[in-house]
Amino acid sequence: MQIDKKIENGTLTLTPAGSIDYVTAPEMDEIIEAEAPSVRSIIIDMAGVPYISSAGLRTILNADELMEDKDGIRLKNVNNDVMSILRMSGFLDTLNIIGPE
Amino acid sequence: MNTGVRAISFPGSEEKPNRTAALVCAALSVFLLAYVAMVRMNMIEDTNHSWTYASTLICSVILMSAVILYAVSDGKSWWVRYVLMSSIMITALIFCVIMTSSYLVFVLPMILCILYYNKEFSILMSVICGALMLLEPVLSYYADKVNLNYVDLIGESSGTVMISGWGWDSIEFQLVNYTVPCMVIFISISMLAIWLTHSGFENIMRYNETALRKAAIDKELAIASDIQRGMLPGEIPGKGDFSISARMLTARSVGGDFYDFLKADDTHVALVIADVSGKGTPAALFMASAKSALRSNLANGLQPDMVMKKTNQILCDSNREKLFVTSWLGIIDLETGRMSYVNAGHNPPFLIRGGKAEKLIDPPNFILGRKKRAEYKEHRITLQPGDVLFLYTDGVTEAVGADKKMFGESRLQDLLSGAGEDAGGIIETVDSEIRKFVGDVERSDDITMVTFALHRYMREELEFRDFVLDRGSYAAVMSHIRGALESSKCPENVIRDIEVCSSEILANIDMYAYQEKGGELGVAVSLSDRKAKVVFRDRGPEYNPLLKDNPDVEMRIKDHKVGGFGLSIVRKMMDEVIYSRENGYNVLTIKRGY
Repeated sequence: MQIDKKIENGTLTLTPAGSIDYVTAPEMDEIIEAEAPSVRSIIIDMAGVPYISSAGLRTILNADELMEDKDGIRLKNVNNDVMSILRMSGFLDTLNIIGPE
Repeated sequence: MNTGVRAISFPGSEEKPNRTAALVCAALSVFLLAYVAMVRMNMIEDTNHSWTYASTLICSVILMSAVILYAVSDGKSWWVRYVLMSSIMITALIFCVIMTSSYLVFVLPMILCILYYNKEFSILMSVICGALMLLEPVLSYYADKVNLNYVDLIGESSGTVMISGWGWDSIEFQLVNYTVPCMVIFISISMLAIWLTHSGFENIMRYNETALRKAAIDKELAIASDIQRGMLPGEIPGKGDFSISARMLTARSVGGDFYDFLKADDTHVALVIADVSGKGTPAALFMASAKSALRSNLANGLQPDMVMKKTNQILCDSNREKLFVTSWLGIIDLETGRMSYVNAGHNPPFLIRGGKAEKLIDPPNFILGRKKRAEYKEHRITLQPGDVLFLYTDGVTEAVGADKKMFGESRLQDLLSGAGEDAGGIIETVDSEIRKFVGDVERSDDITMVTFALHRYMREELEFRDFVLDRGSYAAVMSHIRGALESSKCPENVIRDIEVCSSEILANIDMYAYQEKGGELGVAVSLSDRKAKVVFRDRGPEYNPLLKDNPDVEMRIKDHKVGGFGLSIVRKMMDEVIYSRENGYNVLTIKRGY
């Protein structure tokens, strides 16, 4: 999976292209775990993510946990399919999510 | 009464009176012949002169000829009655002429003509008889006869007196003193006969009309009964996984009971039994309306509770007679035996399992058709192969026997407990027991029974595509699923949901069945009846992911395992998720309608 990575003013912005699932989630986990200590917040641009599986949800939870004592994480450009999974799994209440721009 | 009805001849309108008249003629003839014979043998002294003898013989011959004519005719030709009546009238006339005191013989044809129920004919007869009676003194005069009853009025003394000077005077005398009083009697009798003919005819026509009307109603009812029978379901196709048998005995031509069964889709059977309050035509019409409401709601793919709720609303809106229906509806998943059912005030069915019949008792819901806001709660059980459901209406348990006792539930329960597992056989057994119990007592209520026997769970012949599951083949599996769904014209949103779920399931299998070391995976995709189904099977150790509790989001943060969390998504997104262990495979089936 192609994941664009950008660090600006202590914010890590990840732009994955493709679904975040059982196969692709570990790649993202790796990047997040590697960069987390050096950033204050994480933004995941979900514009290129058609759907997300529970493995992807775990990745997001993981990132949220890592940023818990810092400035947190944000999801943006979340499409409807992904949004419905987030809603179903109860993530909407705990995450900072920005809809499609 | 219109002419059309009048034209209809009632049975035997000619034949029967002709036969009676012919019998009378024959009897008279025989009597007269016997008289002749007795005179011949000098058993009776012929007090008159030989006229009597001859005329008696002539009369009997005339009468006998009429009878013979009647016998050779078909007995109902229009002329037969004229022949018979004429012979009697000629006999009467001859008698009157010869034996002057026999006027009342003319009453005989008058009484006979009543039998024809034809007013015109009776009037004609009375006119002819009257004319003949008037003619009689004239003929008597020429026959040189006189009414001996009045002889002593003419002469001074009684006894054998010869009257001299025959002339019109004596005819006039006889007319005034004898014919007129006799005519008065005769006319009264004729009037009576004509009236009887008329009223008899009217009565018969009225009866006829009533009978015709009743016949028309009977015919309509027979058609209605036929239509109602036609509304009952026929056989439904199956591959021996289950069998259904039903019987309905109506107390009248049309009844208020009904049953229905249908394949809701490839894998579901719906069973309905119902009983409309009341009997006869109103109940039958209401039944038709209830049946079609239930059917159309079932066809809309609603769940049992919603089917009942909607049906209730429809019936409430069109129930002027304040009737109601008690009904039981069950939908059985043939693949799993799972049955959802709703009981709207109906007798709870019996579940026969292992030779023991138990009632499916749940808190009852309200009857259908009376309370628009009623809610219906469904219940679920799982049927096992060998189980039989016995649905019935209260006509079964309330069948009354000769001793005025009812058949009763416990008798039914005992009977069902030993009735075996054959759907048709059970109905046969119960039916014959009820017949035995009831005996000759007339059936007062409809008796309806339906049995559903589950022989085995339905197995769809699935075509599995086999993969070796690991991270490398993951994408290939996913694209196989998408491809199969797309080629079957599955809507894109459903494909996407199934992809999400498939992804979770594959992750699960990889992790739990094969500890991420890869292994055999079979995938089968099938679409039918607007329902997509994907089946996954793996060779891993027996593991039912559905038994895991729903995970909690907070817990997941601490515990970075994915597992059951993915399954909770699957459960939420799919209509059905079923796990089974088959031939060493873990088989997980997901279904999603669209």
